[in-house]
Amino acid sequence: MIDFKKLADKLDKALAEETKESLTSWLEDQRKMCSITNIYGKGSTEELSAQLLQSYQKQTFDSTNSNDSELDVTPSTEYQMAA
Amino acid sequence: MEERIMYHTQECRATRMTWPAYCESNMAWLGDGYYFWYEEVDAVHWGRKSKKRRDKFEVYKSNIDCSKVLDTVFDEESYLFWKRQIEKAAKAIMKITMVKPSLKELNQYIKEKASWKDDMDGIMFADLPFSEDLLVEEYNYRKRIQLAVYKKEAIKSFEFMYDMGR
Repeated sequence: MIDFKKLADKLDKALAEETKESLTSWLEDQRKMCSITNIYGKGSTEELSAQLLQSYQKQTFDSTNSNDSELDVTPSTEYQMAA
Repeated sequence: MEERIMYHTQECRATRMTWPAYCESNMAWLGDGYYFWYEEVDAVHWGRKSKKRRDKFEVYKSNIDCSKVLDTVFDEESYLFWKRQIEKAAKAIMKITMVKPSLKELNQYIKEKASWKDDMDGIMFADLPFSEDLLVEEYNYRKRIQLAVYKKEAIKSFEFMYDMGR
């Protein structure tokens, strides 16, 4: 059972102890926190599935596997100066 | 113990969740907590409407111990008590700061600054449904009920039900 009187007393006490500065500062903190979350998002960690990882690894391997072409290095003398 | 089955919606993830997500965003209108829907239809509607980052969303169900939940929906005494406290706090905050608190700020104040979270496990609240399931147009004959759980001990079980494309 919830004790209504206790809850009401706690709210009365909290409000009675507030000053303009304390309450304004608390409200500002709440709003700052909301803005930061809105801009950057809260972020969370998420486990990647084995299937997703395998697919990613395969793509990376395939794209680097045909590494048999030579690098075409242009001599520095052939560079044109930027105007 | 007064237990209720309630529903939790999340975006589809690579692995199934084993515990509900704790919501701290500014959309957490009853303050930071674990959010549940009373009716499955609202859980699905919420997934379709709000979980847009992925193609699919998931619906989970939980058994919640509501014996220490402030039930403003079905219990008249709790509703009248809640209404009085909200009005009292809102008036005081406006008088002290000259700033109108948002819904979330007001609930967060009551929960944290007045430490209500020590003496109750959550709050159940209702607004009007925005759902296609209403059989009579523009007649909100059913409530859209949400529960914010502040203490994880009140969550007795959590299990996956299904996923669904938006």
